[in-house]
Amino acid sequence: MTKRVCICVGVTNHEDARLSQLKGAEVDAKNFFAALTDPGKGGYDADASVLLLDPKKNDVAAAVADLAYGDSVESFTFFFAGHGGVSNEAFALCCSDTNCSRFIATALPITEIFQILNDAKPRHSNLIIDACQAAGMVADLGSLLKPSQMGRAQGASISIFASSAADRGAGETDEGGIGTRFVLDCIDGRKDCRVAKDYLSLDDIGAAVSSKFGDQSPSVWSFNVSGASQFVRNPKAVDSQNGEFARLPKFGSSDLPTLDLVLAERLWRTYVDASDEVDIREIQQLLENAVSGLDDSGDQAGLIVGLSESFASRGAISDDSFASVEILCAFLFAAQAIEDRTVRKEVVNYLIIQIDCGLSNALGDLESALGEDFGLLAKGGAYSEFFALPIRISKVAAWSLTSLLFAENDGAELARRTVQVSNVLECLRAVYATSFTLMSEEQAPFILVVSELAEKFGMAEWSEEYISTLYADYFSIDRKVAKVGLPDERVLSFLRWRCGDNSLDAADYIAKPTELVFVLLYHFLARGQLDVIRYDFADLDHTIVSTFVPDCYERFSEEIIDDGINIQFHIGFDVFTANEFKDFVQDHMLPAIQNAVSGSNRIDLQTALFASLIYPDRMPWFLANSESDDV
Amino acid sequence: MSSFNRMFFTKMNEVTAQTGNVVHAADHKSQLEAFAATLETIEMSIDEDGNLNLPTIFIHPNQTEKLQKEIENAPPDMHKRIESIKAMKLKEATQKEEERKSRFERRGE
Repeated sequence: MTKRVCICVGVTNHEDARLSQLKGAEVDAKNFFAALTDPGKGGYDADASVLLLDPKKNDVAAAVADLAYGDSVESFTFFFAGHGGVSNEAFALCCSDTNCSRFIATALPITEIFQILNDAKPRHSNLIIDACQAAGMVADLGSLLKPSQMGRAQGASISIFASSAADRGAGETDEGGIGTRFVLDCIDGRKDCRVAKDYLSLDDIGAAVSSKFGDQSPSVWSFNVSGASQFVRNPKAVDSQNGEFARLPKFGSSDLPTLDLVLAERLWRTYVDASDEVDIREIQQLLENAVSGLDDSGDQAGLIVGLSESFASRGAISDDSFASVEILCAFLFAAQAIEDRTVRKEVVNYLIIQIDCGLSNALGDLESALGEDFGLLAKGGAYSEFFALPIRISKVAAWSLTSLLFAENDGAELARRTVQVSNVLECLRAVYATSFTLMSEEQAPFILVVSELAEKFGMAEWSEEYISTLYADYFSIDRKVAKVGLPDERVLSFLRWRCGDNSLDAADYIAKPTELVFVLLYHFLARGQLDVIRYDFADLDHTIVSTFVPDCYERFSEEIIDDGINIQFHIGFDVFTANEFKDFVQDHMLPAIQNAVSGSNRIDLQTALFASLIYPDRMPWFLANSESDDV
Repeated sequence: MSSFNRMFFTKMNEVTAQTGNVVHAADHKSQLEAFAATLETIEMSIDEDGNLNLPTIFIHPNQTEKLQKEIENAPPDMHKRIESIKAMKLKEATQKEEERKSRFERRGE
């Protein structure tokens, strides 16, 4: 039998008069203990859990050891409200007997708690610290992944919520700390964490609080390799009647999975970077390596589900509304490597629900952000925005329309999202119309998604204007469009070449063959508008147009897809007219798409759609197939 | 020569032998005459600016110097002949290109 236990510590009074009285600390600890041990909220074992008010250092350390080393501890939560401090870059908690003159010796270093947890290995550990300079513990967190501290990476299923930045106070009032009140608001349901799960992890709360916090900056750090964390019940799930919430899948044996330490450290570094810049391919590959290093499918699933929470919440800090969604997609792709078919299916279904929820949240955030002037512009983007913004607009439009696809079976939700998407698209048209331009082949999959889904969901008027503008732009800029994956450092020279600097070599920038032209021409074919393109083939003379259709859409997210067909034609040699293009598509492409769709299931197609939106060197042609309407 | 190149030329020899599109140097008085005869057998194209796309010639290293000397010492008639072949090829290629481009749909046609 597994246990859920917590220790809630509030230190109001101190023997050292230099440490001020914190009346709110006791209030916080009591409130937190009550919430966690409430069967309807935290569900922690009230008899086994401990509330410590004004304890001495040794009392706290002993309580942590007693509870963490207990049998089969599923969730261990440590809450602390009081003074904290950083000395010699080490963070320590002030207990009632802390002496400021001998701070590190008399306060409780956070590393001491980490060491106990690393050794005792409860399945999930949560630390909530509401104290001055609490975020200073982040420096100590690195010790979790040091070989000398851990030996193996198996003790790293820890989530930490540290309220107040290192240079600020914790916003203490008589009613308690601000950080604690926000967390309690999430537990009580006064604040919606916007997740589709029956339980909340500390990551979920951290992500929600981070987006709303005022002048107190919480830090949330998490590295969870052992399945979904059940910190507290999700009050919104309890209230939910529409069944959109997913039960947290539980996998794995009672032992925690063992990760290769080098791999764990690389994952950790990628996690840390995920708030600024996300390399989805790197995350996917690291996860695939991690999964292949585990023998048990349950452990493989636990790793995917657990780390998906950590990474997605980290991505929520990013300026990019879709960062968390893209990160979750990396986990979805890596989940294909889980060996057991049943387990894999359960994990994939769970992740798709999380992605759908993330999409819904991103859409809402985007709708709000676009209401502000130029909310889509990246901070500090400078000249690179001339290049990046048009691509970002295509991406936003495509992801927004994709969110509708996942609400098809829920009329009310579809109606709600349709209004949101319409608002987003109209805002793009109103504010960014001058950036409706073709910059990169990377826009091709986005354009295909916009073309097909706008038609499907009654927004063709917008997509017609958008894609027609891009198409006209393609000729007006003399077809100077960058190839996929143009390195950042070459963007400036690309822009110079695009603006007419003929000293630069076109071969360094453009794609040959082009997939973008295939998508643009196909749009007008699919919409029955061949007249729009019929006289343009002469201008496209010598253009080699190519695309790839796999044998089936399973594993469409892999970097190299072995089985499939390259479909290519040479304008002015194989194809001269719009009708010949139509015949070519009917004779060569549609049969290949139908073949690929027939060998793929609904989940394959959903996953493939995400792969196309993230890896722009592959097209979701199955959207163009009438037989795949249930994607 | 790399194994790929060796395979490539072996295959080319097989194909040209089958189609009969072969010029034997032994049938001509000089390498340069054989070269001119070769040009006559090749269907050439023009680039997007209307210039003739001249063929790339692969020649055994032992024969390179000999051919270069023959070109340098060739009588004016031979140079005229080669220029004449090029002009003819340009005309043929231009006509063919016009025919090719006529297959595009154009406004007002």
